[in-house]
Amino acid sequence: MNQGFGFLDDLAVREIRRGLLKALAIPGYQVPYASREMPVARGFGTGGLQISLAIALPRDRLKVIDQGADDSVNAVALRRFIEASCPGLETTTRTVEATLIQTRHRIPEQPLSPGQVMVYQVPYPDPLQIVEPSESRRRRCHAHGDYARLWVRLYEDMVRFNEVAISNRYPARVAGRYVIDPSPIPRFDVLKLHQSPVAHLFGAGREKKLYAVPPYTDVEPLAFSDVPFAVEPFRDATGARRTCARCGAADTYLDELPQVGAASRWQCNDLDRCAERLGYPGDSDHDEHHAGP
Amino acid sequence: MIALDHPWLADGQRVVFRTVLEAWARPGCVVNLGPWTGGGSPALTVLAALCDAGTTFCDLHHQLSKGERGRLGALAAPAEEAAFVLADASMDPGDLTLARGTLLAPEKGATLVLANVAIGNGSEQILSGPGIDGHVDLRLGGIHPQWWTARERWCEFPLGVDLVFCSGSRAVCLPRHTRIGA
Repeated sequence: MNQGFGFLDDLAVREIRRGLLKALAIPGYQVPYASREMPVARGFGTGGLQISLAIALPRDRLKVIDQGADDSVNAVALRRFIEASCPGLETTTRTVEATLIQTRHRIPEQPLSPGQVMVYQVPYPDPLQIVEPSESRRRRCHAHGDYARLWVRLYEDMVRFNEVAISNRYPARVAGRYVIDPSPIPRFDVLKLHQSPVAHLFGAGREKKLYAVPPYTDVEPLAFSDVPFAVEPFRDATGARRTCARCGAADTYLDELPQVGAASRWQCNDLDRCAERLGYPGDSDHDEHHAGP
Repeated sequence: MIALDHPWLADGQRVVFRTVLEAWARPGCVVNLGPWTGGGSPALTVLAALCDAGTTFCDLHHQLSKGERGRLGALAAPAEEAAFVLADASMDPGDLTLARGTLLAPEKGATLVLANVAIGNGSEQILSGPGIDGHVDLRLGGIHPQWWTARERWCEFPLGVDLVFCSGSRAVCLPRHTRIGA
């Protein structure tokens, strides 16, 4: 047993390697694997963690984000663990500097470039889970490309709410074949998977599945021809696009921060992108540290 | 001795895998395995990074020594069942049958490593599909034409066989989804 670089033993690493190659060869297909016990609880990102540990190199620069932030508890814990398990590997909070980006909930706002790899922590890998509880039946549906019940679910949403009521984990078809659950990224990010220049590797540790979207691959959110897919509009009562209260960006995914006795404050969810616009790249807490809340 | 051990070093296997991952994600992209082949077979270097007792292997044209096969650790299996198959690209595959996977388990499709390929020489192939920005031109020589016929027979997405071509210290990958031709 080798528990040197990357924590995982050799058998686990090779199994994940084989699984990732098959996942890339069959875009969107969920490859089963024997997810290992990790020193974090299942559901806290063990799938993404195992992928990162299996592919990391000492020359990598790692960025870990959770809800767009590098400094959330989960992101910090995972980053420290990977850093300690992979001697030589550097960490960064800057998207443009990172070669390996492990994420939960977001795809960074800055454009990605070849040479980077995206790794996703996935809680529920199967988009059919919301309509079919049996895994064996879901596997048959994927095998035959039968997504009829998913379409019915979308249609029912249209009838009841006049829009598709899936805010994140929005199902998307990859390379014209398999429909994936793109992890809990918002609808705003789903379009970034389409023809992306980087490989996107998804790991669901609890559900023991790996899947992938290769670079330059078609990823189409499921949508009806007469009701096009739409991202979160972030519009105020007047119909104007909200802007970030910190950096003023009008093209980013925003968090709503309720204020006591005042209107909500909206600010960029991707703190690195926000800090870059503010002129403090690599210091996403700058205004909190230097200018107060 | 140290050079001969290169394919078996864990650090080297990490680098080799990451390099192969890049080539696999970008079909037609020629990658260099660098010093990690130890001057030996690039095919063995790739296999060493991927094989262990949890998988099966067939050395179709007996290109590895008994010691190398043993060190890979993979269970021996006939070509039609093996997860990894190593073959000489210059040999005629005839009506070779490889595992293509099933609709319920397409990942069971084999990975075929073809050795002794002249990457950069030979006839031009135009590749397109996932992983490729538009199309890419790739020249591969030293391959018996029947391998291309066999690939057409094997690959019917999502079923199929994934190919790794090896030459010198270089490798290039053609997953089953890659389309060949204009």
